Amino acid sequence: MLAHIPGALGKAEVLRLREALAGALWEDGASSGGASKTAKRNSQLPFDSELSRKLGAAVASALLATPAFVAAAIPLRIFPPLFERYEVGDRYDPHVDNAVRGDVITGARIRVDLSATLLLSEPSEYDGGRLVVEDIFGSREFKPQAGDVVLFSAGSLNMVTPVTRGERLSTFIWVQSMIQSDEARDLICDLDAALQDLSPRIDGDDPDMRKLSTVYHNLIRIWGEA
Amino acid sequence: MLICIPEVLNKQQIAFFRETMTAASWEDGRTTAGSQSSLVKNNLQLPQDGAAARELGEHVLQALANCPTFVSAALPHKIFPPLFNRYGVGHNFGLHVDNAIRGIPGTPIRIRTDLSCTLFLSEAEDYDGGELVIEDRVGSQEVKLAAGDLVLYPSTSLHFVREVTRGARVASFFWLQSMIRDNVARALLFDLDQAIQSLSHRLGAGDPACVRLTGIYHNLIRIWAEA
Repeated sequence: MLAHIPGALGKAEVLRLREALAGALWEDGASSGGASKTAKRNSQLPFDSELSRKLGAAVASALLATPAFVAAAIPLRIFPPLFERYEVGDRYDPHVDNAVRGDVITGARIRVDLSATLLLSEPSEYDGGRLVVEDIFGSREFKPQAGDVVLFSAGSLNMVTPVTRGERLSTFIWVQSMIQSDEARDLICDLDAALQDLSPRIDGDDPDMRKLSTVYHNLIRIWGEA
Repeated sequence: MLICIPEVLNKQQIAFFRETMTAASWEDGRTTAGSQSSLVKNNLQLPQDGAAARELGEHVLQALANCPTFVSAALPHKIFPPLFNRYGVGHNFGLHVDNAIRGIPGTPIRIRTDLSCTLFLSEAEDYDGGELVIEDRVGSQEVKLAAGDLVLYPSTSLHFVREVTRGARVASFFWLQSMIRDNVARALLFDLDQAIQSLSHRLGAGDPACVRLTGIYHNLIRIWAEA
């Protein structure tokens, strides 16, 4: 899975988050780096802080209200989103995210199937800072608009290239999906896209549409964890 | 999933089959039965290595390959060489389940019997009784089809053939191993394929949704198939 979902967060909501982050205290981002501590050089909002939790909850609910995100991720659990800041010289070298994450506050653990980055800075505000994700068809670069989300398999190598001007604010999100297998989840996402394509053209009560929607739900029944 | 597929053989082919079968000699049907089913089996069969069974069997396999509904519903991997049976007055086959694994005689090939098939070769009005009765958890279904029609059903079911009380019932029967072992997965692929065929007809096969659905169909087979 590799998807660029524009406008998951509206510009007004992005501004509200940035205002809330303006006076925040940042700490060394290596604290959440897992196995990849030395690869990571940036700052991060303390993940157990009240501010991080509050803003994270707003991001999580915005994502769950974004149909393209829900269709692609089929989310079961979302880890409290973390906020990070890349200043000039900051970067995150190629790494793979940890497979399992435990939350120090709640003790809840998730299997990280998908990673997502939601940009809070506009691309014009910084140079460098590109998100690069390696997937089965090769490596892809992203420099999305503020409010956009890039969603990718947590098993993919990914990196953020060094920032050479300005400041890049973003939040990253780990998701446990109802569908563990990337291959299976992508297929269900494709089926959903075909249904969305057909639904304005063919009545929902049509026998073929009924068959396809039965197939959709039965595939989730076969593969899903709830 | 129990599916009836009409006109797998046409009436001309049926006439040829009947003629060949009339000229052939028959043997006790228990030669191919398992230990439980041989106790309840009471019919005649064409010897499976005989010329008549081999020739007609080839015709059946050819007809199946030319039948898109059969291929879509069964997604066959290996098909057992078709056998031929005859139920005269007083013949029946009591309640049984088909053997899980069948070796093909004279070869090292074994098949797992996922699906059972009966291809009717007698017209329904030419005999009384002889219904194929297939039991599932909520009851039973009776199948008695026209000559040339085929019924396909999961081999896991208990089934029997009711006693023939007039005339004679001839049929071809065989088992197959599907590329898709799971009945639910196979039924889902059949639904998906039927929807794609119908939508391609309505919207054109090049419609982006049809192209995407076709990709999904093949990717599901890639995930599930044994080939």
